[in-house]
Amino acid sequence: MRISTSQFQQVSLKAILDQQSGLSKTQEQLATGKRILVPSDDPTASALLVDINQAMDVYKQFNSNADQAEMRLRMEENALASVATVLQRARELAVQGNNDTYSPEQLLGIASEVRSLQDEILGLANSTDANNDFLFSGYQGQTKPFDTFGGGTGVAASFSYNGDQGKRLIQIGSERSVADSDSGFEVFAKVSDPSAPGSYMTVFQTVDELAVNLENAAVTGANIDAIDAALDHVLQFQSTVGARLNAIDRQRTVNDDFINQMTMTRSDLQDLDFASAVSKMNLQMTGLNAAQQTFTKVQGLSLFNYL
Amino acid sequence: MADLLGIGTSGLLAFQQALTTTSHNISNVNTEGYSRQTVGFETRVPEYIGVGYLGTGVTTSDIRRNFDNFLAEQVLNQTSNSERYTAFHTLASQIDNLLADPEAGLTPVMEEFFAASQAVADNPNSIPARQVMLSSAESLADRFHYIDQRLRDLNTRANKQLEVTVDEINSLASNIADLNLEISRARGMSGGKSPNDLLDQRDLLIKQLSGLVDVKTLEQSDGQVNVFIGSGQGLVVGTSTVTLDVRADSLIPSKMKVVIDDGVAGIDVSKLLTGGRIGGTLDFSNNVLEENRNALGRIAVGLSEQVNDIHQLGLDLTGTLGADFFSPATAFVQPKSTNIATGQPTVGYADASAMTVNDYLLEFSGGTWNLSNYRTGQAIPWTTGSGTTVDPYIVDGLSIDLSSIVGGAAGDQFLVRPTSEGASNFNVKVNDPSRIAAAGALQGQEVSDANGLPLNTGSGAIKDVTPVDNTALPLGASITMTYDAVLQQFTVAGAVPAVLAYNPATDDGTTQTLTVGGMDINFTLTGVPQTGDQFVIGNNSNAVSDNRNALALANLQTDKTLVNGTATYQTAYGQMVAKVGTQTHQAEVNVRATATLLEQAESAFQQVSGVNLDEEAANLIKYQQAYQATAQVITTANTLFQTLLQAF
Repeated sequence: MRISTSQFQQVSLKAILDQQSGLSKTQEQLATGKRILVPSDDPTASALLVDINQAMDVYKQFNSNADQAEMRLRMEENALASVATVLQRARELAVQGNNDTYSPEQLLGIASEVRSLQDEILGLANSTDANNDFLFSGYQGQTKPFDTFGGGTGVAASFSYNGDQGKRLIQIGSERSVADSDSGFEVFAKVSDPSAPGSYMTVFQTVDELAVNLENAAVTGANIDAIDAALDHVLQFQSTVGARLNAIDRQRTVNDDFINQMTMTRSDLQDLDFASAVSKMNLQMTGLNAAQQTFTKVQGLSLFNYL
Repeated sequence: MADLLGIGTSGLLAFQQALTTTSHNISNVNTEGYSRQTVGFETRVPEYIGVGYLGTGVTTSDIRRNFDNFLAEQVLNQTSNSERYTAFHTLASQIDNLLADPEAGLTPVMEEFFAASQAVADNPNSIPARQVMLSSAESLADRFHYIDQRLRDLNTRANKQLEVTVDEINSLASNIADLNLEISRARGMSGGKSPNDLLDQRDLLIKQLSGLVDVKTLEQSDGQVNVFIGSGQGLVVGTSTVTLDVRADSLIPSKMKVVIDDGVAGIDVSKLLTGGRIGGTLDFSNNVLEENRNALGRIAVGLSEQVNDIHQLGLDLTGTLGADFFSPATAFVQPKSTNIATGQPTVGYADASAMTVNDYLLEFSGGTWNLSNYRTGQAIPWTTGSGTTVDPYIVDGLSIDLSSIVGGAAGDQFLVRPTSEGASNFNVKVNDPSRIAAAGALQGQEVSDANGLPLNTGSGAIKDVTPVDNTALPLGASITMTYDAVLQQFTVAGAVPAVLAYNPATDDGTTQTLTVGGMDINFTLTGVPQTGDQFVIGNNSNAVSDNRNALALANLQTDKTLVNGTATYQTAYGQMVAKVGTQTHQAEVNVRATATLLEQAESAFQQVSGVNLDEEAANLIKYQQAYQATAQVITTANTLFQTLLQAF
């Protein structure tokens, strides 16, 4: 077979250039640690990576949502725990006040403590979160949920709820949302009145009634029952909040598992197998070396050398 | 003796010519397109001397060009193929690289936008969170613009490449025609002998031409070559040429087509030119670029339409109904310049999830307007609607209203491109963070007394109150539902139907619907209400902490809202990445394959035509020795002559 001299040279040169471009690609893979440098390296995996990256980001966002929800639920939990403590103290005072041994003056003394408990509960019900939004006003975060009207020593006050019944949901998993608050309507207002079935009595009213009855020396067992009902109601919400916090913890574990699994899949898809890449690079370097050496050796051969 | 001298001289002349030709070969070893030449020898006419024919020496019969037409044609074909895929691959890999960078693609900014929506859902009342959502929406718009701009830059580049290539083709064609003239003249002057070096020059030009466009050649008896392109359009016929030109497409001005210049509109040959750099460039423009711009545009249109639809169902921090979040998308409609019809069709988006990445051609048959796929020409029948304003045609998620078109003659056309400008027109419309509609527009609550305190005695509750659209928002009056536990139904005031059945045993948690002013409101009821219990659906107010609409927006991230409900925005983008990747990968494979085939063809061709220096060195020795030997014949003749002279 005849071989043209310039063709022969081009072929030898091309062998060197091919080896060089292969080497350059392996080198870039090693430098970035990535198997896929451009989508055309593996189109299917590239599309999959877009999905996986999104899924991971979404789950990270769920975790960050969970952090927000947890923060707010912890505040609600603290507020409810304080309300429960205050109501327990009110109950002790109600039991004392229901005892005939106290004089009206002594009862007035107890009443004044109940009044301060009442203020405390109202303060807790009107407490705000880190963003200065009221915890218990439903969707109306900038509306102070509870107000007191009228009342005074020996006279019953009335109370109003100014928020709405909205309950905000926070997404913490692909199919899991959790309420990060409860409206004051539910927590403080919708407490069944044990002495009048089918009607409600706010927690404040219950405490106010106790104070009024103490001031009028007219405390009865009904006051204790009402406080028990309020306490039960608040404790029930406290346990709901606790359950939600547990759910958040569990969901976070699920999310983390998912993220870990996706990280592994992503690594399988895009990361380079260093051992095989390094051995491939060595092979390519040897190949390049051989191509270069044969080029200089072979190109030196010519019959003209002997003329 | 005279014979001897004559024979000797004939040998000397012949071998001189052979040595000259060998030297010519050696000195042209690096000349592109040069074909090895060989000298043919033949005996001179012998002389009859009675006893027989006496030889009279040697003469050169011809100086041959070692050239195989079949192999040369193979090289032309493979050059066309190889250049075609190389041109395609060079352009396609630009998109491949553009989408390869995870930071430069759509993915990260899309993530940020939805993460910011979630952050607003976490803290709807936070102005900083809302500000972040707006700025991430701006980044998203910037990225849509950036990618689209890069694609359009590539389009400009491809168009420029077409122009340059067409110029090159025209200049090559005229050079080939010039050489045709020279060759036929040279052949005429030499009595039909081949002017080898001129032939080489012409073949080189034809080979260069084959890298630009696929060519077929046909040699004429006078040595001239006719060159045909495409499906047989004569580019060079003898000594005359036709001129190619690049013109803007009549319906897509940004798209170029290659025409044969006929002094008027030009004959479009774009679809016929499949090989060479032109073929690759046209293939890229028609099949990769437009489709990718449309695919990107579809994501942009889908996102803006769907975000806007939801945003308009919510309330912002001031309690106002949400407006458009992104600028509403508009379909690009281009009338043909020769249209008799005035006005144009009104194209809207009926259902973004059903959109395709196609462009459409609306053509008047004389009686009716017919729709077809612009690229494939496939007819698309009208199945839904009547094309009027109130009942537009619904096709592939588009609503097409033809009522604004007046008149028309058969052949009138409109090009409809629903997605092509989607990415470049994607802009954020909301500019005040408080105007992000994060809250739901309506709220369902149980009835309360003047102090906001509870009245209902049952355990019934209402939730998930969602209007289907915003046509009757805000509500003129609240809707009140009053329960009757005996009849197990609500009496409804302020909406229809007037009676809504609710059986706590079976209807708990199922979706209920009431209608106000033609607008459906969905909600669910749970629990066991008592007779007289009331639920009220009313306009949401002061609901600065309500995040329902922000959640609905954030959920778009994972909702399959595109490609007939099979793809999220990111999946659609992933599909685009995969498609470009596949096309580029395919082109890469083709580039390698055709390069190998070209190499093989070249090698086969060079086996015949290429100069081998060792061979030439051997020839040099061979002809030198022959020359020396022939010189000895002259010496012998001289000696003989001297001998003869000395005899006297």
